[in-house]
Amino acid sequence: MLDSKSIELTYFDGHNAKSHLVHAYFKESMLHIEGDGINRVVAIAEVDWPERQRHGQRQASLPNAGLLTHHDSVAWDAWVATARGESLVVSWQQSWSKTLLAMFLVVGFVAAGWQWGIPLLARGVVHFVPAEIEQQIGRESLKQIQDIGLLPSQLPLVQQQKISQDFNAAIAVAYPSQQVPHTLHFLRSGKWPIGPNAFALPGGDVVLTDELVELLHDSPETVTAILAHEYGHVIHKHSLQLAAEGTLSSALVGLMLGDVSSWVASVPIMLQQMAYSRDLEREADEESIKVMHANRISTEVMVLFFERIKKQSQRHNAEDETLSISFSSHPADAERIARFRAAAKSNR
Amino acid sequence: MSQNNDDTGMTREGLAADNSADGQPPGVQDEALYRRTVQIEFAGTGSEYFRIWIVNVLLIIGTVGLYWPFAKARRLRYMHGNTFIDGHALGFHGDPWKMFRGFLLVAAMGLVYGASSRSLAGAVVAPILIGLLWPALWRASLQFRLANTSWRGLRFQFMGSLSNAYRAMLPLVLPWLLMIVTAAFLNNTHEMGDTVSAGMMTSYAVSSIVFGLMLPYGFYCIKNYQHSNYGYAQEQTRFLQGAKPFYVVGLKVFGLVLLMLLMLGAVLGGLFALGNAPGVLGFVLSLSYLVALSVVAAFFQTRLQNLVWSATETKSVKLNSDLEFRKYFGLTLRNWLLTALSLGLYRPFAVIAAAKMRLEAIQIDLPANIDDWVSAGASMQDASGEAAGDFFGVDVGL
Repeated sequence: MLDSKSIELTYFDGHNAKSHLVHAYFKESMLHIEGDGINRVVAIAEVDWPERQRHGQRQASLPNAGLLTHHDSVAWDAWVATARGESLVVSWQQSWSKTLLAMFLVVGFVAAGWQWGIPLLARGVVHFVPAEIEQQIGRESLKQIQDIGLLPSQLPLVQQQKISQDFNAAIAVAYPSQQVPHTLHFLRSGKWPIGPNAFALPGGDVVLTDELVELLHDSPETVTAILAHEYGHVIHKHSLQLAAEGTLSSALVGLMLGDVSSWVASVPIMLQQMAYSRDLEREADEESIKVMHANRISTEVMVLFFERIKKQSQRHNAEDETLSISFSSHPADAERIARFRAAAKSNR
Repeated sequence: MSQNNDDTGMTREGLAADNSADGQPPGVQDEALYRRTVQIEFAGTGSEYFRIWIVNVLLIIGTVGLYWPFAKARRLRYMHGNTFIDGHALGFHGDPWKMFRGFLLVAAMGLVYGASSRSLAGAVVAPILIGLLWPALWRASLQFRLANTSWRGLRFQFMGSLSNAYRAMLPLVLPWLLMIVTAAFLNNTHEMGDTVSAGMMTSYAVSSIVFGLMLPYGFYCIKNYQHSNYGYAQEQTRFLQGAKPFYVVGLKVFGLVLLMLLMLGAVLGGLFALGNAPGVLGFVLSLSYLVALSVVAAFFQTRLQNLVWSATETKSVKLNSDLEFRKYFGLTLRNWLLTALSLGLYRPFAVIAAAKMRLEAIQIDLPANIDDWVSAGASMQDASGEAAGDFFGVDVGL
């Protein structure tokens, strides 16, 4: 007795490799399979139905062994559609317009994650990193920096102490209630020329090069302002945040590209770090301005720093073309100078 | 479906013995002697897989990664359902919820491993624990994958024993552990600010060299274990190669890597000599790097697939793989270039194209009539091993 729609299918019993030609039809909520000595009735809901696709063979596996297949996928899909609807996922997959929508959503999500998600996540993550791990990372990076070729300072000890005292006094005024632990390291370039420079490492280690002190020999207030800027990085745990951002963005690129990631991952991550670091510089500048205001230092002293750095890099460029400052730093410098100038005016 | 009679003596003998044991009439036995060679056919298309993939990606993003095992099950179903052997597609029947459980377990393991590597004790203990658990998980993943793969309604099986899984992994796991542990001690001494002793450096160098030298043998042991234990109906595969060809492939790959490094050096030198702009320099260098990488990857994959699958047979089935390096290299290069240029959107097309070329390079020589093949009884396995295999980048490769 054949109900509404019957179809001729291939049946395997799951025990034997022999194929059986059978008739299958739906009746109420049951699937009936008959023919070639087979007679089975199975609840439609208990069958593991294949998803509708354009290519490939449809295989439905039955409870307690048994498999139904059909060479004609179109006929199969039409037949199954008479008995059951299909999942939302399948209808999305089979529609180009919905797939395109999915693609725009994915691309939009990845772009938004890149732009805002990763910095936000990294900002959150740094608060959960225990202080000792942060310090350990800092120690490791400091050691690496020294291995690469930074040498101990040649500044007189008195001058080093003066710089430290000025700086500590300045932040004690700006942050009277609480200060973040930090250590000042005086170093100078060895075989790896880093020039006039100052940077903050995870865990509160701040490095200052002799070259920077020499560049600003006549303006100790600028040195204090720069150290206050680095202290701003320490307060906001920026180095750790940058590291977290690097890890997160390489994970994202890895997920997107798979095999190729090792090759291209470095490029977008570098670009992204440059963009992120601009935001971080702004944040650190704000702390520096705060310290300068609290200590009645004119923020114009930072403008002096930018001018001298620019002059020096131009001199270097004339000597050696390969030592060029990165493209994005020039407009960023202009923006920062403007910020310090504005801060000087507003405080008058 | 060409029918030919180029049976080897060995398989004929095996078949004859088999059939007489089953007590079948002589007519059937004669018919079974007819053999044919079929090529695996792959019907998947990039455009269709793209649609499956992008919806999967969206769902993975939307569920913060939890959808991953379900996406994987769908992917495997698609790949299996489009892999035709002798007109019948493979089937994948893995339960995504089981795979989900395994996924959670392995994710937890990964987190513990990541968190523990910070201290010396953790950096030593965690790899040892992974080394101890890994072979068991690997075997479980093979069992799960095979038990959930079917052809003509019969499930495949993985028959390797647990002790043999450990034996197969030992030649790689032991030198790896030695290397990791000496590296951990080395790092620790370095961090503490102590000077690293020459003995320590030597032990690290020696363990790295031992690991490198053991690599081809380790590969052999792993492939030998896998390809000796695949089962279908009453058939079980055996692996006909020894360790020697693995060393030949390893040496050639090593030579190729050196050659590519020389090539990259020459390109770099040439570019500097010509004094090009940094943009041109970066572009040419990344392109050459990509070419070098795809030469090595394509060579290794081609040779390994041909070596391993051509040496695999059962009592009555013989496999052969003749993947061509030149064709596969061209495909790999194109796939990687387009994937990079499309920021990853070409990836599903690349996956399908590579799978098609690799699968269709395999021929299977089998008896004309296998209707009487009988299932040896399937066993269901836990999916955590499957997840571990995925997590640590080991694939069964069928």
